[in-house]
Amino acid sequence: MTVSERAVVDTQIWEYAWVEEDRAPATVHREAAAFLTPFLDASDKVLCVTAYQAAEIMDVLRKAGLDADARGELLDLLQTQCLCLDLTTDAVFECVEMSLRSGIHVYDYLVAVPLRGLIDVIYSADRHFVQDPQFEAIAPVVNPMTWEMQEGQPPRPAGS
Amino acid sequence: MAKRESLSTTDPFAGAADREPPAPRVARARVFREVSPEERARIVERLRQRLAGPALRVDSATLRQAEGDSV
Repeated sequence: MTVSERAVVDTQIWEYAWVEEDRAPATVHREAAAFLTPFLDASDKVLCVTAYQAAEIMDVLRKAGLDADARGELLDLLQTQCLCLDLTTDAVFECVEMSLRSGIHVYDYLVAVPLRGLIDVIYSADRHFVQDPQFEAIAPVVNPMTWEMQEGQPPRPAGS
Repeated sequence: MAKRESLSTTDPFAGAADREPPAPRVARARVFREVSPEERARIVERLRQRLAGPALRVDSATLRQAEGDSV
């Protein structure tokens, strides 16, 4: 029996799968799209999202200018192909407390922490996920890209 | 004055539990919407084509604004 990998894919990877940024390395969009594609219908890969992340993905792409048809298709995917997790008040406050300890904004925690015990891996190119060991305690953090992100800056080659 | 006194002694949370919508105490993970295999295949194929096609080109300033503080 095949064991499915249940994964969180950080919002930036979702974002760059649809978007090409003028000041980012040329490969960023291509890598993100190529990484996400096998998750669409693979039986051995399951995308997991919290209710918060579903909203975040949709709204970042709205603000980036993705048209409503394309966003509707993405919403279909989130609703039918992903394992979605309800957010409880307990989970939100746990995330707030973790944010309080680390100084990292709460939104990254809302993407991953409520899925503790359900996921096998967190895929992220965001330095926050490496910087705070609280994420690694949820699930192994893996950067599947050759680039990384720091808040408020364009992506740059990993390790630079 | 009598009105202020009555406000100060009112429990602001009284009856709140009766008025709240039923909220999940335990988080549930689920596929939000079940669809037929045919519809599922259509959804996946549309997304596959989108991801294989040209990307939306966005300038950095717009993208940073889109990300805000949350991403």
